[in-house]
Amino acid sequence: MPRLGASFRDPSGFVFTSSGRPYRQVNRVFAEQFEACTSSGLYEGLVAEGLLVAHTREELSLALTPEAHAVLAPAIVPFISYPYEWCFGELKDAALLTLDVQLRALERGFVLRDASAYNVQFVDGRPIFIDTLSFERYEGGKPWIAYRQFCQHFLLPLTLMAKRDVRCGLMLREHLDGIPLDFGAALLPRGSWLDLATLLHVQLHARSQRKHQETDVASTIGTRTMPKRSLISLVESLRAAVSRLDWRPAGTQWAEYVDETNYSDAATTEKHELVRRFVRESNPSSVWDVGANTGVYSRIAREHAELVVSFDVDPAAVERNYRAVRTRNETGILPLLLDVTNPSPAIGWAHRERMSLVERGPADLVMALALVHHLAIGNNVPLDTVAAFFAEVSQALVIEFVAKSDSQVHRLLRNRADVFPSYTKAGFEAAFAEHFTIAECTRVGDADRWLYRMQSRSRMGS
Amino acid sequence: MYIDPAAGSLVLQVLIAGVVSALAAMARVRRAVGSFFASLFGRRSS
Repeated sequence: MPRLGASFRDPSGFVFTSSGRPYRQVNRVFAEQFEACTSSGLYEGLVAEGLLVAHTREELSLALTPEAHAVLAPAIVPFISYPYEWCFGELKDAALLTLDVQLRALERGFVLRDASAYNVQFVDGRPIFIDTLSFERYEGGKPWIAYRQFCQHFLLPLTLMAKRDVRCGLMLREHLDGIPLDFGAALLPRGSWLDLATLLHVQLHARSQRKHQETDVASTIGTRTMPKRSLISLVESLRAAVSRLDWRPAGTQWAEYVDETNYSDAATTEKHELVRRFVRESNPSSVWDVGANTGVYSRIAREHAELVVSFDVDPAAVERNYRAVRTRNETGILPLLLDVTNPSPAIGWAHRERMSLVERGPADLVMALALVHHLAIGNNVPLDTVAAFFAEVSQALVIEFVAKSDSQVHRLLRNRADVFPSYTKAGFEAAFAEHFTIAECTRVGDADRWLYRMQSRSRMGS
Repeated sequence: MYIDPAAGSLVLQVLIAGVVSALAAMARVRRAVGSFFASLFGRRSS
């Protein structure tokens, strides 16, 4: 189906794919607004600032349906990610971007007519607004239509993450139109009432929604209006509130993990060199580093790949990884939150709005370093199904096997029965041989750990 | 308008319009005062 499954709500246009690339169709019903926005210089200005994805105008003959006014070819986003896969810092930067886009639009007499977190993607370490059709002319005196959506998609999730628990961000996977205000407001700590922004934009906002469920807005507000100066102040108030929110990564299970593995300094250097060589010889364009921690090996892989998606289950590790990307202005590394034992599913209407992880693959290369024992022993996943999953999402593998004699595996088995008789080097190789050919296997230093380079059997030559 | 703005969200904005404007004005004054002293301090230390 060429029309994207998530692109059906807005009658002004939709996204479709043709010959494997995305296009955006602008419908005639939105033609006047689109042309006004184009001629105002808003698009050019936002693109020049790196806030909006660039697009070119294509032949109308490419249109998918007869109501087309224009067809746009947006710049390609190399990997689509979703808000429930972002760390705190990524969601916060996406929120600030949305508000900055709104302020720029208001300066030119336009306004954002939605404020969905799904309008933002990450390219080269930075958030970028991708919905070219989100702008319409500002009508004087009108409140912001997307205020509710912004609070549900950004402000409330960020407030919960900062003030309650950073894992509250995962609630966005359940609530695709953002966390309902009444629900989220009830979860905030009592002290949050003392913060004026939280009081206004979350607590009173939730109450107002409850009170006015059946209200006719025109008759309630009468002749009162929202002057433009007040609208700008509202947006600035939201921006200040988001800017103040902070979450510091510390004290989680994995955040210090990379420093605690069983390698000596010499073996660590050797492992770095091995990974570097294995990646180079795999010659990938895209790499998924699964269990990346703070991204040490992602950065090594990046030396030989265009894009490394750096997945980890720990919000603190992903946060550190993302902060490093921003601080060093790194490109081609995308830190994302992912529990590989429960990867992002296909969700939304008809399971077609948000893609599963598998649908976004396969990657040219998957790296799974110091991960398999957590899957096979920590989560009881049989080795053959670990191999089958990796075969589904990768063309090639750089994978580490950690033997039972290693203290990290020993730790996993310390207080439980060892029901994993096939968890041996030979068992690992046999399980993976069904889906992969082993191109190379090297022991790392004198540790009971081996690093493999494998090639998918089903995708060989592809 | 293709999304539901929610009646309560529209009403609230109109009701708090004055408050957010006043807060923004206060913030601007704070920033101006802050940058005035910062510039004084900056000149002295340079």
